[in-house]
Amino acid sequence: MRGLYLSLIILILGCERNQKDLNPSVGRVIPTEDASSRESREKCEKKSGRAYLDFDGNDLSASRKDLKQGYEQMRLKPYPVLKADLTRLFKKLPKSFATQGLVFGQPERRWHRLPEASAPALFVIYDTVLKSFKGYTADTDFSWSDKPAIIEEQCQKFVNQAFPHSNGEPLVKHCQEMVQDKKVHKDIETRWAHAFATLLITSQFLGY
Amino acid sequence: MQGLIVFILAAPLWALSAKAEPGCFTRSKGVLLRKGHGSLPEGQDELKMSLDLLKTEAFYNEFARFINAQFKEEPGGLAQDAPFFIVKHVLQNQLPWKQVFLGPFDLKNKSKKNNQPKFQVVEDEKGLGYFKVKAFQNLYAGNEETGLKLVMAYRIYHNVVGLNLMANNATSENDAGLATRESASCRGCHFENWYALDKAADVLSRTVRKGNHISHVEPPKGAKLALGDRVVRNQKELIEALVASEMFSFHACRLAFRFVYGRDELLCEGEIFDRCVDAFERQGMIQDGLKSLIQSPGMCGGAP
Repeated sequence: MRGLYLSLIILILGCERNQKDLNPSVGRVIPTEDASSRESREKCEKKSGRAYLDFDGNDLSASRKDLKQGYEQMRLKPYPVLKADLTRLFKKLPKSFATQGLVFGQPERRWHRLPEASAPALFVIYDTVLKSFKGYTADTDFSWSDKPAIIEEQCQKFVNQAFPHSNGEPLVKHCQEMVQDKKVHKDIETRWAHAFATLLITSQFLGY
Repeated sequence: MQGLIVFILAAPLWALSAKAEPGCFTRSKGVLLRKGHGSLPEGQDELKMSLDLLKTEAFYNEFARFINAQFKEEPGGLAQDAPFFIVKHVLQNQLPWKQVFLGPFDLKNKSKKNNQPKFQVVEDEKGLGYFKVKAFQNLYAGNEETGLKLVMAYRIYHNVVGLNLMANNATSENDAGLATRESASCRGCHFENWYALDKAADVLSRTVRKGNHISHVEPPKGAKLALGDRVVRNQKELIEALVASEMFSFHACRLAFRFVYGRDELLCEGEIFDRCVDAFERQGMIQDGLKSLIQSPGMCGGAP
């Protein structure tokens, strides 16, 4: 079951940094776009800037890609940032997470490498959340009630903590749906853990 | 006074705005220091906090790591990581960016015998940024039969002004000798374009190998190269000519952009890029270029 949800969530990962809405049907429907809208999205609307010439008079800026700003604005969080964010949410992480730097592209000393969000990296985060979840419920006045209002309140609280700068509404809705959906798992505690884990492998959490 | 008015008029509105985009500090700290934080800043001036990061040891360290990875092909070799040590020294001492390539520096191992090596930057009037650090010279000494430093010539162009060339390995038997370099498919990069590698290597010192020992001797007298409107006679003059060109500022900001965004600038980000170049050229400080990028839309200056 965990593998199935992980696969579904990976499929819907969006990368728009300024994306205002996460598809409320997250995990169930993969949004599509036609060729014309894709073309207009990919092109730069307003080309700007000066020319910079080499000794032969060639313009160095000619190598710039003609892509519209959008998901290109996003950067993935490096491993230390993810570690700090997860620690802020769950207080204590499993020991295994401390040795996972390489999975996230952590570079050697005096070196630099772009962070990675490969499938193994997403799995590590997902698994870390499942293992750390009990710490969250122990440290907060968490309720196991299945009353919709309480589920919503607790989803809202978690989303506020995890996504302080994002539009939380669709995230809260997704959280509620997962907690209330008994097809996810018969046990409500497990459903809560999966709801949080799926939220934390979205682009809004993995990037900034 | 007139200059002040012109500056204020020229300054973009978003740069003057005191209110930074939400998440500005989180993003800046992750990008500049590769670090997160336990608690989120509330009610504080996130833009100011972000710009202050540019004066921290953690930033000097992180940017030096980034540049080292840009200026070398692969990690490893403590002294070979000369770009890391020299860049960090330049940032710590608030020196102009060109000192990374021209500064009178060398690396000295300050550790006692049998201890782990510990390198420090020292003053050396014969120094030329990290290029004259022996381990770095040896790393790019090349294997050309006459000792011509073709790989160092390329490394200088690549690191100082961002030249990118792809080696043509399709020639017969992969022979990199003079005859091959003069062939039609190779002579453009080796003899014809402004960056002709054989011509640049001609003014550099020569590699002399004896067993495992490598030494570097002066080039033959009279070697010279025309570059732009200058005549270049040695490595220092070659780097000075590159630093004086438009390409130098362009590459400094491209590096800054790559550090902040993890990619090169796009066609529609030309204005942001130009502001970086303007800021950089005021005093030749790469921190000023980075500062303009932190203030720009997409980082702290609001949505693009």
